[in-house]
Amino acid sequence: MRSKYWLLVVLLLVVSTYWIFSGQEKSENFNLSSEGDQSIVASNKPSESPSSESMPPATKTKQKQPSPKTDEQDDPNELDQWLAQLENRRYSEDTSVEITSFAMEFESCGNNNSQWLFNNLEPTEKQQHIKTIMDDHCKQLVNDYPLLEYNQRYAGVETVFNQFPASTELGRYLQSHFVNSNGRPDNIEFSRGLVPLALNEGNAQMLYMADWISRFSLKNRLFDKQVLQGQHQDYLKTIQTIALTALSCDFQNGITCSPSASFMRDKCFTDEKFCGLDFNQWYVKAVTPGMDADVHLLKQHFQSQVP
Amino acid sequence: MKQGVFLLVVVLVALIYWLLNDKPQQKSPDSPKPNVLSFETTSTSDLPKTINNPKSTNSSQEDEAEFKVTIHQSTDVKTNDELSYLDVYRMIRKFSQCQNVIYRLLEDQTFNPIAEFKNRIKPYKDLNPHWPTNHQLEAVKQHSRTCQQLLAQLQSVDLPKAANIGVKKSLFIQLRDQLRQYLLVKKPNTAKEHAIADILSLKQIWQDHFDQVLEVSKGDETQNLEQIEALQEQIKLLQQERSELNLQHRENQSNDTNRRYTQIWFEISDLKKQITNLRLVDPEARSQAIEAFEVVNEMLFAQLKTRDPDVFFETQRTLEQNKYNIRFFGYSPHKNTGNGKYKVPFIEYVSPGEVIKNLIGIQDNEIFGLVINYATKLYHCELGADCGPEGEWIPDICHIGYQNIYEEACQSDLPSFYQQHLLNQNQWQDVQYVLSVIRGIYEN
Repeated sequence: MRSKYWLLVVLLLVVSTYWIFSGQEKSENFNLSSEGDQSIVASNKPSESPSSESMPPATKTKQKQPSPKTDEQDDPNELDQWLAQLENRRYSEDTSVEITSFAMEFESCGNNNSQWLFNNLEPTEKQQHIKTIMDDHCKQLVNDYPLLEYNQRYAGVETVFNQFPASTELGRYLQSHFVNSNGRPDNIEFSRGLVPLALNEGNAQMLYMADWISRFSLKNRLFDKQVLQGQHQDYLKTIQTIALTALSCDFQNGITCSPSASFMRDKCFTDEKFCGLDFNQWYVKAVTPGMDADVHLLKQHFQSQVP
Repeated sequence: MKQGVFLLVVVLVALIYWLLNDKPQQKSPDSPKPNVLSFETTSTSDLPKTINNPKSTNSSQEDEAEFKVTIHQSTDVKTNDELSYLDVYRMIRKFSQCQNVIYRLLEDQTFNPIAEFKNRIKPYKDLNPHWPTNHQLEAVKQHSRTCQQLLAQLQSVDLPKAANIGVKKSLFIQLRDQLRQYLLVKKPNTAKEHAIADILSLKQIWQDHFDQVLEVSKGDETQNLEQIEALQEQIKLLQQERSELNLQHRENQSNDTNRRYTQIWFEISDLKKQITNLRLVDPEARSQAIEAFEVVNEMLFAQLKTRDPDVFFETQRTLEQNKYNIRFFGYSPHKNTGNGKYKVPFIEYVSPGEVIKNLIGIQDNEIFGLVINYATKLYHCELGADCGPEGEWIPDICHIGYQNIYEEACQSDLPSFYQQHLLNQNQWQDVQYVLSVIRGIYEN
């Protein structure tokens, strides 16, 4: 009788342990696939983990991206090339931050083909002028930073993340979210955390990135409800973009607020009367008194979050 | 002692198992109770054959139990003679609002609006895990009832036969056209009905004149016909290549295919531009067309001041060239003025929304859209339009739309919903300012 009792207990333990663990595994798999569905940005982010150096060679090969140039990145000279390219820092002494900021600049270039932005319409002279400035800038970026050019951009970010230790809080934040999450950071949480760090380190591209990434999520609000009341999503999203762009104007000589930066470029390509204006000039002509008050409130809120 | 420990382990394991296993079976306290709604008594086989087109449905049995529908001839149905001009006009307006129900019901009698609504809100469950609320479901049911009654009414009257012009139309479009024809044979009697008949007639005349300006703005092809035909032939070949690439792409995705596909898009776009440039516009004919248009345009603009909600509604939508999207009631940035298609687009045209935009000095269309459409709808309510839960605007915000639906709207009137829920204080003040400008223009 006693042995039967023992047997029953052991059996129960084994079955329950197996059931619990197999259930967790299923749950983890489900979470991964859900994330994959949600994140548009994530699909373009590095897929290797930071610890890939310690992985066996076969695993590393399997995880490499299909680009033929990725082989070059195994070359130790490649890292020197990266450092040589990034010698004149524009955004940060932290290589992770510098390279991610340039990646955002490349993002605005749209595969170095801005023609599609006109959707079958003939650009006007003023629009063509902005388009030329933008195209020239993008060509210059490719020329100056060939390792960041479209096909290599994400592999490049990955290399840097893997090889160069972050030296700033912003860099560590980027690394931890992009790499440790397999390139799938939670869009809104990631952007929420990014804003104060980007403000603290005065990085215009990272402020732009926070807003850009938030657009891929339905929950695109980077602030709590009590900061700005109302439920009008388009309105709140617009205020958020304007506030973050306005804040970014103070950094890197207003690179994200220039007439050819993505914000003003889109305005110009939609309506030629905005061509040639910078963000602040547009603001005066476009924003209503109520919106101005809300933008002001939101800017204050973001600034108050700075550590 | 040992026995006690083992017993404790067993109890713990059993407890963990029970807790974990029981979780998925728990029902949310907010989950709606099944509802059974029926317009029964008449068999569906009694319906006219034009709508008797049952198809398979994806609705689950549970959903079917929640909303069981059988269409029948309601006791509220009026006969041909009993229906006034205003009744038929209202039916047209309601028919448009009921598109989401009637279209589906005509194609599939087993269509289940509740199941469809639940399916539609699925992508927004992360943001609103408690959806659908009982108020939303009630609103969907009420809307469906109204739409089904309208359908029953339409089936009971002698509508003019649908014109057979050799184009296959959906049952919904056929019925809509028949209903419009029906209004034309009805005679307006009251002053209100005459006002509606006049505006419907005037808006058609306006549209004809507007189209005439576009026609002469397109440009004549006859003088460069040979070159144009050669370019059109090139476009055709490129389109064929694109179709083949499409098929290839399905089987084998490659960067080369993608690149060529994009290249073709630009090549076609370029050829179309060349064709446009080869078309010739007669400036005199165009000036004459615009001159004739301006006379009618002035007459229609004057109708914005008549202080009748139906006249205002028809006029506003016509002048904004906004036939389909009620979201842009007030200002539509997507008017077809031939931009990108015609040799000389009709850029001279200034819509009512643009008049207000110029007056208040907001130059950005996107920003302007965040105030003008709300202010215009509020003005429409002030004129006496039905702005309650089953009126012109609320059903769309409560349950008909997709991303921009709000549960708070279901039990509200439009102004209260805007002020208390949708707009924050600063946006509300902006909207109020624009509303005061609208009043200033249309009330004087």
